[in-house]
Amino acid sequence: MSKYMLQKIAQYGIVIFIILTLNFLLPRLMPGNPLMYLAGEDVGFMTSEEKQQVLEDAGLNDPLYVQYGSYLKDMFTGNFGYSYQQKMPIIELLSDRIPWTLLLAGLNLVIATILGVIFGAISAWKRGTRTDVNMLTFFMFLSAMPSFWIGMILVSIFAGTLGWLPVFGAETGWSNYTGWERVVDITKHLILPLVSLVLISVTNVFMTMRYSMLNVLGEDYIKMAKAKGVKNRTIKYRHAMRNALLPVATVFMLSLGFMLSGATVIETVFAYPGVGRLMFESVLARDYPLIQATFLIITLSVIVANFIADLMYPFLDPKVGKSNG
Amino acid sequence: MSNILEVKNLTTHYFTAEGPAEAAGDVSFSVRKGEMLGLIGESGCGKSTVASSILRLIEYPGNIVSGEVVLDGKDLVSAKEKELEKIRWKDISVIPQSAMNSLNPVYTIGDQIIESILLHEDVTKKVALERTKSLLELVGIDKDRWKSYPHEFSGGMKQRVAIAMALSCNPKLIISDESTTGLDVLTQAQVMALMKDLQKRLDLSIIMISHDLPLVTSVCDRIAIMYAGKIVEWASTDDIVNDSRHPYSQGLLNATPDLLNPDKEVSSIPGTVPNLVNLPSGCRFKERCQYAMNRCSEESPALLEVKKDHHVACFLEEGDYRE
Amino acid sequence: MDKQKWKHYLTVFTNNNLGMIGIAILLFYIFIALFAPLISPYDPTARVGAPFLSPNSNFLLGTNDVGQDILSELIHGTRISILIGIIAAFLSVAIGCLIGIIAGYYGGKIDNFLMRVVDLVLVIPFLPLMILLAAFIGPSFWNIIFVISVLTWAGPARVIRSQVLTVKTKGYVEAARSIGSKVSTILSKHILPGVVPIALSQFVLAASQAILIEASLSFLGLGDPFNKSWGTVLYYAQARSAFLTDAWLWWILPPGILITVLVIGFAFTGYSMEEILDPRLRKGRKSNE
Repeated sequence: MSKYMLQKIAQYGIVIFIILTLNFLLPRLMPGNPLMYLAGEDVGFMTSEEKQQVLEDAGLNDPLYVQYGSYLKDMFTGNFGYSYQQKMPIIELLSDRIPWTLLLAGLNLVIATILGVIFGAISAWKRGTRTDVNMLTFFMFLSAMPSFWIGMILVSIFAGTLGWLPVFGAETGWSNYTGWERVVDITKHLILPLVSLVLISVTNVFMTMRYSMLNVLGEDYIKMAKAKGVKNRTIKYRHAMRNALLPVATVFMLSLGFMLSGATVIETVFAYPGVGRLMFESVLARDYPLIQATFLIITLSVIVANFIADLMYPFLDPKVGKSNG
Repeated sequence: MSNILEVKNLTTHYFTAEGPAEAAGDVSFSVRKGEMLGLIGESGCGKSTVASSILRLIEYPGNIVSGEVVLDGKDLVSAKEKELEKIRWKDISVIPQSAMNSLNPVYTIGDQIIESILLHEDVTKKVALERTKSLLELVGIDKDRWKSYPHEFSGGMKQRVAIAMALSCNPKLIISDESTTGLDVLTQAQVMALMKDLQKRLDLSIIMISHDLPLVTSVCDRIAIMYAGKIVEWASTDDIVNDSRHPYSQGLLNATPDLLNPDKEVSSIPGTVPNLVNLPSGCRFKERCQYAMNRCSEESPALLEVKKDHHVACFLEEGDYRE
Repeated sequence: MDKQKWKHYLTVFTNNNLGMIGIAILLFYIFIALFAPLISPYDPTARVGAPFLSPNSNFLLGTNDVGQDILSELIHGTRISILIGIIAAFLSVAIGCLIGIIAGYYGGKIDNFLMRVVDLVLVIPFLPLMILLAAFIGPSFWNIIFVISVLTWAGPARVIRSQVLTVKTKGYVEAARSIGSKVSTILSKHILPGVVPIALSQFVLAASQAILIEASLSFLGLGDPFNKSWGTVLYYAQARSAFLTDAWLWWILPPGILITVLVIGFAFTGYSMEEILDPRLRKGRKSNE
């Protein structure tokens, strides 16, 4: 294993450790009764025996390091506890919600990246022209808008006023659609959230690609390719594109978090039953164990995705990894 | 000997925010078959602009304003972009200023040499690879290293790769654009020796662009000296060294220390290169010239042949002004 | 930084159209924020009409679900949004400056360690963490500011550090170090003045970011319920399904436009400040025109 890999593993190990620890300490260090974070505001109506019982069950009477040990064990075995609001084990709630987020965020990732790369490259190739200026203006305005507001406006126009698409949810409830009908139904529900999410995610990719492409086009090896008689098209796609994509890969990794955060907000707007919406619901209900669990899932998946992307980076850039390896 | 390339009255401008800069003004010279021609001058004198103009690779905001570049009877300035794509590398190749940055970092050097062969010749990939290997050996690189990426080579080795690439299609002319700048002196000498050796063995025609007069005099057959976008003197290396006529050429020679003649007094030329945007009328060198006269401010001296193959652009050569 | 230089910056800035537009926008908002009680037709917390009224001559933007005047809510919301944005950005850049200067000035292991921390903070997706923190410490004006600033300082810290590295190599700093000036003197007399312009432009960009984050947090129900910001207004519009009727035109559209224009105002100001500080950018822009 290369030094690069080891470094990355150590780096991400530390991040994960910090996140887990923070998540553990927060309810225990916050002012107020830690019981409230476990059992909700019903605490006030409990007898002191009941309170003792809850504390005992949760192990909150144990020394901190014992609690920490069992907490880590719980986390690694997927035992996130019980949602007092939804009266369900959290792990079940999560497994209901995760597929929807994967669908929404996964499609967004692919579409936003492709669109951002294409528009960024075109903008750079046509630098200084009307096309370039128009694209820059459009994306600048887009990035100045609050992400949830973009979703609200889309829903107002296309669902509320025009009635073309459904207002909320991931599929029509109690419809019992099956097969193809269900696919159509799910797609209809997916369009608005997906478009909103793409709109808020694409700017980052666009800006990076444009900047990176401008840099690459000024490089000597592009001039060289021209001197070699390589056709303009080939220069763009074979020589410039791949080099310009390197920084995009880095930004791509950093914007994974941004995209998933965006998903949290967008799912809330569209009442889309993903993990982000679950987090919102848990915040509204002050369902602390659920807030924590959704936080962990979202954060850890971003970090793991970053990690995977980091590990793939050497295959893109021959300079990384080999020289260290 | 026949001319392989003729540059006639080439003028190239850069259209900057401050106004057009004349980086090459009415430049004329020619290259003979099997000759190594040096094109020298200080940085910013327009020599690289001339090189880029020959292949029409001038970048925005530059443009060729007038003139001709004739290769084998065909004018490249008026040629279509499609025709140029075929001529580039097949007929004229380039050894670039900085080989480190001129090789694409994400492809192996073999890929890049093979690419240039396949672009211009109808051969199989296998044939191209074989030729790539022999080209690498020719420039002194182990033939198995075709699989390596540019960053795995040292500066001098990359320069050799660039030479191999320039040779890949047996071009009629090679333009070496400051190709040894940035290398340490020893490596520079090795690369130069390699180029000279290859030129003799393969009967190559080369334009050697450099700011380093001693370096050029050691390898070139003829030398053209540029100053502020103009060629001021163009003659055989022997004439330049022993019988230079233009005050600027003389200044350049005086500014270089001579190993064999350590007692020689080294003196620099006073003053600075004029701004190419707002050029003064008349001779561009007049403000730094000790022989400047009224006429130098009024008109621009033309490049005249003062004796066989010796061209000078200076009024001193027109009449007998010199004592 | 001497007066001459500031004067020069000012000249360049006033010659920069985007920058002037940005400043004009900011002044407009600040004016509204300052004189909110005088401008707004009603007390934003009072029930002054029937709920869900459409715009009319009494209520230019209609009323909300409990009969409060939406226009007055927005005018007062300007105060909250701008205040939170500015204070959070100030704290964020202040932390960034502190970390950046320490890392840049001392270098070596300290620098290495601090930059690792910066990398860590940058990897963590901040919105979920903000939601978590805000949920635990409770929604309030200062808590939101705390949450935003404590999670957004890493970007500025990195920029400030590289500026310190540049300033540090300047002759006068090395001279001051070699004649044994006190560290505090070097920092306050030489390093800090070199960092201030960059910190200012970072502050402006951080403010636009903070305003967007505040809006998101408020929209997620984590805003201060007693000090309604634009995000809070949108939260109620969403909760009362304003998007199902024409009410979105006066309840959802205006607050979003207010946010967008303010963010653009900050962005224009910030970009032109960066351009002024980096003459290379300025030149590049010119020759491309």
